Parts: sequence; structure tokens; C-alpha cells
Amino acid sequence: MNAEDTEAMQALDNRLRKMFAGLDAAPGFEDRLRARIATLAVQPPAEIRDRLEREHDRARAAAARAARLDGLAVAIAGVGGLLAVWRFAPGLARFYEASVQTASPSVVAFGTLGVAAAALWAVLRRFDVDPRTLIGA
Amino acid sequence: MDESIIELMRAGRPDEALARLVPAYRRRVFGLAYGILRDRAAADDVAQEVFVKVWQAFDSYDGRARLSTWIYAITRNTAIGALRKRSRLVSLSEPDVSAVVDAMEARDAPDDGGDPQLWRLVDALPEKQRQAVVLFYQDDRSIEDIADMLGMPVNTVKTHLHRARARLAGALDADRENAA
Repeated sequence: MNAEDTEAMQALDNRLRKMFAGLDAAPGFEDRLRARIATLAVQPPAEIRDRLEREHDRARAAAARAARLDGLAVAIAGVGGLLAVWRFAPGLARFYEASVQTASPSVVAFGTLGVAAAALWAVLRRFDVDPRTLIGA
Repeated sequence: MDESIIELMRAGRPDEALARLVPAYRRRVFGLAYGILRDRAAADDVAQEVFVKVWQAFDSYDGRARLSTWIYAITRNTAIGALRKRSRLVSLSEPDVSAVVDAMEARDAPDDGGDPQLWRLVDALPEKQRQAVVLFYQDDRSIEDIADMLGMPVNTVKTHLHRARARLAGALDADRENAA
């Protein structure tokens, strides 16, 4: 960069400084802000109460919706379970008896317990219960 | 300064905290908003909104970020929100109305520093370069301060500033040659 360029850059810097020196909010900024905040300071209790009530209403509605959905899911699962028992119980009984005869009783017992524990785990997790808390872990 | 403001905030004296905060940050908040919006009235509105938001959110300031960083983030978000709102309004309008809005914005360029030619050239700079220029020359701020205000790395600010100056110098040369 030669001396001429440097001079031109300095001139540009000076022009920019001069131009932006006056860049500020309009006069009376603080007064307007104080007035605005004074208005807000008077209003908030009612507004905040209304807003909190609306939020609570929304939360209550969401909880009720979730409970209805859970109830529906339990009912469907119950009916499905009954139908499954009705439909598959004889076959399962035969399979269980055959398993007891071919495998050792302890293997069948552990298998049954494993399936029951997995089902219990799934149900507890569905309702946001950490199964470890039930055994104090 | 920031420490005393934070102490007042934590002591549950928001009005006193604001009374100290506004003079300390008004020009910076306004400059940052102006760099984004290119409109004095809109920047003034945004600056007001920023201080109201800060006042309302004193309780939620947890001290993890510096007070200045927190305020600049609120300013950027508020200004960008205002810009989006304005863009939506303009895009919903008829094309000739958009032209009128553009003309009004051009006319709205602050005139207390004179130099309408330079205002026009600065307004025509790419967004980030314009913001860096406004903040740098408004109060001879350090590059580090500007990086904090814009939420970008120091070297990026240097690059924007360097490119902006080169662009402005080139545009002024071109204007001179055209006039000759």
C-alpha cells in the first residue's frame, strides 16, 4: 500500500468516524423507556396471573389427555390380553407341558420369570417409573 | 460497572440496575440494532424493546455469560425478529409499496453525520461487513468488543472490517472517476 492509498484510507476512516459519531437513539430515550416500564410495572400482576392460569389450564388439559390415552391403552391391552388368552391358552398350555417334559424345570421357570420381568419392565417404563427405584437401586 | 449492575439485579433492585445499565449500553445496543436494521426508528424501537426485555429478565440472568454478552444476544435476536417481521410485511405488500418502503429507508439514513454518499455505500455493504463497520466507527471500539457484540470470532470481525474498508474505498474511487 503506497502513501496515497494510506492517506485515502485515513481519510475514509475519518469520514466514517465523523459519520457514525452521532449514531445514537433518539432524544428522550431514557424517558420513553421509563414511561414504558412504569406502565409494565403497574400491569404485570394481573397479566402474569392470567398467563400463569392459562399455562396451568394448558398443563391440566395435557395431563387429562395423557391420562385418557393411557386409560384407553390399558383397556385395549386388557381386551387384547383376554382375547389372546381365549385364543392361545390351550396351545400355550400344551407347549408349556411339552417344554417341562423336554427341558429341565429350572430352565422353564427361569424362562417364565424372564418373560414376566420383561413385560413388567415395559409396563413400568411406559408409565415413567424407573424399575430400579422399586428395589432401592 | 457490570458488577455493580449485577449486584443491583441480584439485590432485587431492577429499576436502579436499569438506570445504570441504559446509559452504559444504549449506544452499543442502538448501534448493534442499527447495523442489522439500517433504520434509525426501527433501531430505536428495538433498543427500547431490548431494555424492557432485560428489565423483565433480570431474575433469569444466571451469570454464566458476561452481562454484555447476554444483552448483545437479546439485541441481535430482537433486531433479527424485527427484520423478519418487516420483511414479511414488505413481501406481503404490492411491489410498488416495497419500492416506496425502500425509498423511505434510504431517506431515513441518519443525516447528522452528513455524507449521504458514504451512508449509501455503507448501506450497500453485505450485512456482516456493515455491522462491523457501524460498531467499529461508532465509538472506536476494539475488535474484541465488536466480536462479543456480534457473537463471532475476532479474526472474522477483522476480515469483515478489512473487506468493508477495501470495498468502500473502491466504491468511492469509482464514484470519483464517474464524476470526473
